[in-house]
Amino acid sequence: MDNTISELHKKILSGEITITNLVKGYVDRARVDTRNIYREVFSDIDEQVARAEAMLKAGKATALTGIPVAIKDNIMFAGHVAGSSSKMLEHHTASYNSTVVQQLIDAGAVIIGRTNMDDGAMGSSTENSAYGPTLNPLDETRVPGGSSGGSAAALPADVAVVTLGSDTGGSIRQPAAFCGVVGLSPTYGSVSRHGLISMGSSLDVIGPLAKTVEDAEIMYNTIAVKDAFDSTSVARPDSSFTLKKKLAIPKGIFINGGCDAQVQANFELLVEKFKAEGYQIDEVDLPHFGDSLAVYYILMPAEVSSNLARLDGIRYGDRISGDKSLSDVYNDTRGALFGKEVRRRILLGTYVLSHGYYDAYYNKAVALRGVIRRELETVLADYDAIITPTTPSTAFKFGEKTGDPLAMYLSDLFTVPANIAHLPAISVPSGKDTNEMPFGIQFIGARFSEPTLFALGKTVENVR
Amino acid sequence: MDIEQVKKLAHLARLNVPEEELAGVASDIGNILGFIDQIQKVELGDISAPTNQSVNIFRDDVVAPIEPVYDLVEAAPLHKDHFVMVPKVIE
Repeated sequence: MDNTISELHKKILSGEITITNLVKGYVDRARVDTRNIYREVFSDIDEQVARAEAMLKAGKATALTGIPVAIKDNIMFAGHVAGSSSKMLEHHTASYNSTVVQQLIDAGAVIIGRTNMDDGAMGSSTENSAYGPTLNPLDETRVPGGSSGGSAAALPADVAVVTLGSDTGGSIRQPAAFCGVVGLSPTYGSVSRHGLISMGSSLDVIGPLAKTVEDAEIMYNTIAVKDAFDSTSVARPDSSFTLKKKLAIPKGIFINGGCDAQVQANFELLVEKFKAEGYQIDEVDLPHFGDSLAVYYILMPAEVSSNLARLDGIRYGDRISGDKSLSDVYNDTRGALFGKEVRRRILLGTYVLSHGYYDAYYNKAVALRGVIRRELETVLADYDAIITPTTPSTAFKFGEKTGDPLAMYLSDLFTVPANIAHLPAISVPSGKDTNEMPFGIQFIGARFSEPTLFALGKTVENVR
Repeated sequence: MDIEQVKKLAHLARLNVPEEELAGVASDIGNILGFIDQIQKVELGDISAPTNQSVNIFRDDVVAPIEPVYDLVEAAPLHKDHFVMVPKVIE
């Protein structure tokens, strides 16, 4: 793909292009784009551009200085709407900068807009956005994936150079795979969530979507800082690493069906190519890997039902009002302004947390989460990464899964284990199917093994 | 999952579910529960044992100014003179 960060950075430094013209070009294209990628292209970016030009002039340009970046609609940028593509937060203006936005601004990046997503980050196709779905630029009859669908689609459409998304169960990696780009879900705790509209706080991470692994690496190194505003934030250890050249495949991932034959064939092709590069690749026993999705669909709704209690028509967003009692305000506002999938997850979460079911669901899921995490960590002590296809299928057609929530949930089959275990994972494009839609291969690493994941991702870029 | 159970959950969650959606919601949630019930087959022994590997991270409790206090209040749908407005709760 053209116009990567590193390519544009060189042109900016050499004077071949100016930051002002570069940004104008992206903003102009973003404004006329018809694929519903952006919720809003910002109109007040002159100050950001001027600051980037000043940094360049002062010889203080970073790789991101002057680079047009878009952020997912659930990431706060002071003075701009952060709406989570939900009716509930349609008029919610961010009162402060998220830490990731502050890091980007400090690096001189120019944030040109906010991208469409599933309502509340709940969905796998952007079809749950209150403002209609984003079209996949590679085939406009297909979904871009979700929930960070706008942030993924912006890259092949080239209406942003690089973007930020959020990932609770695959919401960066799945759309990255569907749009043929790189998506990184970083180690839990490495990137501050301060200023991210919470969904499932024990699972949420913010990460980059990029045209190349190198670009994702530049973004990660910019945003991964310890932050006092997020109590789960931790400092990154020393980034040195040695490749063991050993990769693990969870035994039996293709047995239960549910994975498209072309996806499996592409995955096996990549495995052969890694073997040709001198990698040892083993099937390993991960007996509870397959239970991750069930665990996820207990913990995530439980946390959703609790996190979204604050969206009550009183404190944030909009209110369905009139001359009503407090409980009517709660019931009417939440009933009318949350999308259908959000309401479904709140009700499901309320159920698994209710008296009489708490032990059977929530506590059991928490215990199983610990088992899954230990199993993955044990394997990752001996291997560079665990590899899987990113998704069981390539990008599907609009409407194909909207009638059946469970079918939609199964898109997250391979991505949720990393969130469950707080591990970093990267999706890298690995080829195309007979409809010319991209495959993604996923590498799940040990905590803070991002440098290893970047090295593996670059190998995919060289051999695919 | 039946319609009465959905109504009860909707009440607990302070979330109106329109009458015509109740049956669909009951059926969707029933299907999802059918799927997540697979974890009931997993034998884990005593799950009351501590399994959470997380540790608390503490910092000193230092008083510091928070810049945009009034901006935070203004995030509320209805506010007046830097106060959040709520419906009357006592008659």
